[in-house]
Amino acid sequence: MVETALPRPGLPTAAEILAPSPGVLLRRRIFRHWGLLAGALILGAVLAMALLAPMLAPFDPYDQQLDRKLIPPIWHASTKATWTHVLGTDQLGRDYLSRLLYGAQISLLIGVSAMLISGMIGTTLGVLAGYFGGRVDMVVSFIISTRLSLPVVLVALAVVAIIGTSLNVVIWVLGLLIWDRFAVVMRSATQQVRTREFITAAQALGASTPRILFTEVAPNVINHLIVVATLEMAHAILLEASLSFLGLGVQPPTPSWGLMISEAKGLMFFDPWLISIPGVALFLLVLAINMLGDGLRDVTAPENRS
Amino acid sequence: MSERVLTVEDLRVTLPVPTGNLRAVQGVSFHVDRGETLCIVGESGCGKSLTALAIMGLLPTRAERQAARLDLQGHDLTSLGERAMSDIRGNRMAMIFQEPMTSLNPAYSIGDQLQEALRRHKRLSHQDARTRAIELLDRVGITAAASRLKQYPHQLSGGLRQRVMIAMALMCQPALILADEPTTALDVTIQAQILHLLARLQREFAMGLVLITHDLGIVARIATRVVVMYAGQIVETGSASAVFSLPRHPYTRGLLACIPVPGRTRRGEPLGTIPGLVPSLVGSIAGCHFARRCPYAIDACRAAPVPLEPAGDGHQVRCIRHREFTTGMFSAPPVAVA
Amino acid sequence: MLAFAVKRLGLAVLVALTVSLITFSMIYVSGDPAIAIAGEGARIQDIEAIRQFYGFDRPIVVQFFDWLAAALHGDFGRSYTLRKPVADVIFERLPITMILGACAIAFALLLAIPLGVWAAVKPNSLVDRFALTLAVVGQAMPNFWFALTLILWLGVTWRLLPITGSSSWQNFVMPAIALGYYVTPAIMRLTRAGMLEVLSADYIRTARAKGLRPRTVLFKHALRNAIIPVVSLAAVLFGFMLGGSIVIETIFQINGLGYLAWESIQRKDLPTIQAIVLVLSVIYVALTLAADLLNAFLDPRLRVA
Repeated sequence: MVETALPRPGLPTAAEILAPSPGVLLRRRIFRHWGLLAGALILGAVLAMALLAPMLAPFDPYDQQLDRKLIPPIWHASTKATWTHVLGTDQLGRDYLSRLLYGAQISLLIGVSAMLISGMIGTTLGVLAGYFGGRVDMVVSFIISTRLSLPVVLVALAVVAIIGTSLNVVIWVLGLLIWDRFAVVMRSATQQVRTREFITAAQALGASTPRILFTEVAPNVINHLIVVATLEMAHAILLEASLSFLGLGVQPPTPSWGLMISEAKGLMFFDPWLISIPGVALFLLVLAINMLGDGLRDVTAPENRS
Repeated sequence: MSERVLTVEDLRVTLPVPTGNLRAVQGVSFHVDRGETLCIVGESGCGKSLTALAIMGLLPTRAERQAARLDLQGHDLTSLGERAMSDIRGNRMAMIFQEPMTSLNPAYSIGDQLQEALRRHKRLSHQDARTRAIELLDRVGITAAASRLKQYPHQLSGGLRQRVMIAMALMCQPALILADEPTTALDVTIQAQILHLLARLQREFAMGLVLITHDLGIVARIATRVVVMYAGQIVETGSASAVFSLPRHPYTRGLLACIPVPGRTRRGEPLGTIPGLVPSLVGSIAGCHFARRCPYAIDACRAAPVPLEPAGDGHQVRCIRHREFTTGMFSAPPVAVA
Repeated sequence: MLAFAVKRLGLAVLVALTVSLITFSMIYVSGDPAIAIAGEGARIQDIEAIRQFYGFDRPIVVQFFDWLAAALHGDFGRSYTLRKPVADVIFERLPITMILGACAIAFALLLAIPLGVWAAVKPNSLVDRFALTLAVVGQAMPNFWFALTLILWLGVTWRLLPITGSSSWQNFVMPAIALGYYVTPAIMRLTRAGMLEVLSADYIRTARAKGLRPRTVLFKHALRNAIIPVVSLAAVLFGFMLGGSIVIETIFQINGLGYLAWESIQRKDLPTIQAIVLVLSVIYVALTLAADLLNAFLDPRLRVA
C-alpha cells in the first residue's frame, strides 16, 4: 500500500508542543470575561472605600450637625447643595458620603464573616456527606432539609430580638443559618470527585481519609467552593441589610446601608436621595459580587454554565 | 414505468464553522422511483445524513442549502418556505432516525404521537385517527395494538420503538421515506427483522425508500441501487448488483475488502483496512478527495477535481482510472498502472 | 410510585418534627423564658408565678410533648400580648399571606417562563441577553429598596396604585411584584436551560420531521418536558416567599402572617413567634413534598418506577 504522509499517532505535533499551559489559558479566559473583570473592579473599589474610609471620609459619620440637615447631593438643582457635602446630609445633619464609606465597612465585614462561618459549617457537612455517602449522607441530607424548611429571615429576626442586637450576634446568626447552599454544592462536587479513579488509587496506596480529603478531594472542589462563597457573601450582605432595615440588625447610629434606608423611609417622598444612595450602593456591591461569582464559575468550569 | 418520486440534482450543503466554511455535501445528484430502495453508503462524516436532512428541510439554521433541482413527485422543494415544507413533511415524505430510544417524546403516549401527524395533515377525527394508528401498528408487526396506544415510550424496547417510528412515518402514506441508519442502534437479531419489515412495507405501500447506512451487509440485502459517498461527494453509484460485482472506485473496493468473507478470508491474516484519515472539508480540496488514501493515486489525481463519469448502464464512477478496474473483487487482482 | 410517596411522606413528617423541636427550643434561646416575659426589674415572686403559670417548671421533655400535642390539635397557646388564642390570630392572617404569595409566584411565572422560552429559542440574541441581564439585576436588588422605589414611582409620583393596606386587589399588585421579582431570575434561568436542552433532543427533531407546526413543537413537545423541574421549583419558591414576606408586608402594611410575625417579635410574644415559624415550616415541608410528587406525576418515566 502506498504510504500516506500523515503524522503518526503518539508523537506530539508541532501545534501541540507550542500550545499554552493550563495556567496561561486560565489567565486568558479571566481577562476575556468582562463580567468577571467588572465585578472584581467594583468589589475592589468598595473594598478600598471600606479600608480607606478613615482617610477618605471628609467628616465623622456620627457627627450630627442639626443646622446642616437634609442638604441635597451635589447634582440637585437646589441652592442648598454644596461641594462640602457631595452626597448631601441626612435628617440629623450627618454627611452622607462619610456614612456611605463607613457603611461599606459594615457590609463587607458582615458579608465576609458570615460567609466564612457558614462556609465552614456547610463545606464540612457537604464534603463529609459527599465523600462517605450512605448513612452519613442520609443524616446530612436530613439536616439540610430541616434547615431549608425554616424561614430564615423570621428565625434570624426572632433570635436577634431575643438575644439582643449586636454586630457579633448578627454575624453568628447569619453564619449559622445560611450554610445550606455550601452544603448542597460541596456535597454534589465531592460526589463527582469521589467516583474518579485517583481517589481509589490513593485509597489503594493506604492513604488515610483526612489525607485523601485534603490532598486529593480539596484541589478538585475548590473552584466550586470559591463560586458559592462569593454568592453567599452577597446573600449575607442582603440579609444583613434586610435585618437592619427592620431594626433588628446593626443599631443606630452605626452607618449600615440597610439602616440608612430604614431611617430615611419616612422622608423618602421629599428627599428621595436618602434612600437611593445607599440603595444603589447595596445594589452595585451585590451585583459586583454576583458577577464575580458567575464569572469565576464560567472561567473555571465553562461546562457548568446554564 | 415507475413514477419518479425524488429527484436531486447538484445538492450542496455548507456549514459555517469558526475556521471557515465546511462544505459537507458537494454536488450530490440521484433519483428514486416508487418501489425502489436506494442505499446511501459511506463512513461517518461523509455527508449522507446531511443529505437526507437537506431534502427534508431539517438542516440546522446556520447551514446553507443549494440545489439545481430538488423535486418530490415533480413538485419543486427549493422554492418552498417553512410553512409549505411543514405541510409536506410527515405527509408526502417522512424520515426515520437512528436512535429509537430518544426519538419519541417521553411525556406523551404512543397513540398520541402516532395520531398527531394524521390529525395535523389530514384533519381526521380522533376516532378515525385512532383506527388508522391501530391498523398501522398491526402492519409493522406490533401485537395487541389497541392496548399499545396507551403505553408510553419508556415502556417499550428499542426494537418496538423503532417499529413505532416506522408506523409513525407511514401514517399519512408518504411517497418517499428517508431512513437514516434505522437499525444501527439495535441488536443484530432485531436489525434483520426491521430490515425485513421495511422491505415488505415498501412493497405493500409502493413507496420510494432511501436507506442511509455505513453497513455494506445491509446494502447487499435490500438495495436496488447504491450511492457510495466519500468526503461530501458521490464516488460511485449504480445498481446494487453492478456495484457489488464490479466496484470501480478504489474506495468502494476498499470498503468491500474490509468485509471478512467466510471461505476466502484466511485465518491469522490481518483484515483489510483503508489507512489514513478523511480529509477536512473546510475550504476546498485540490483534486480527488480520496487521493491521499488511495493505493492507485497518481499525480493526475491530485491535479484537478474529478467528475463523475459513466461506466456503463447507469453505473457512474468518480475516478480517472476506473477503466483499469476490469475485474471483480474476488477474482485476480486488478490491473493497475503505477 | 406508592412506595416512593410513602417514603417521602415519612421523611417529611420527620423533618416537620425536627423543625417543631427547633421552634420549641427558640423559647429558651435567651436563657430563662420566665425572666424574658417578666421583663427587667421584676421581682423574684413574679418570675416564679410566671414560671408556674406557663408551666416552665416542668421537665423540658414534658413541656415539648405537651406543646406538640396541643399544636397538633390546633392549639398554639395564648398570645402573651393579644389576649387571644394564637391559633385564631394565625388562621385569620394566613390566607392573606397565601394570597400575596400566590400573586407573587404568578407574577414571577408569567414573566419568567415566556422570557426563558424566548431566550432559549433565540440563544445569544438581543432577547437572550436582555433576559440574562434582567436576571442578574433582579438578583442584586434588595427587596425592601425595590419595594420603596416602587412605592415612590407607582404609588406616589404616578399615583397608579395604593401604597398601604390590604382591602382590594390593587393593594396586592406592588407587593406581589416586590415579592416575586427576586425569584424570577431563578425560574427564568431554569426554563431557559431546560428548553435549550430539550430543543436539541431527538424527539423534537422527530416532531419537526412529522411536519408539526412550529408552535406545536415548541409548546406541546418542548415546553411540556422542559417545564417539569420548573413546576417543582415554583412550589419550593412559593414556600420560600411565604417565609420572606415579612419585609414586604411591613412596608406595605398588609395584614398577613409576616406582619403578625413582625409585631410579635417587637412585643416578644414568643408563643406567636413559635407558632408562625412552625406553621410556615410545615407548609414548606408540605410544598416540597407536593413538588416531588408533582415531578413524579408530570414525568411519565417516573410514574411506574
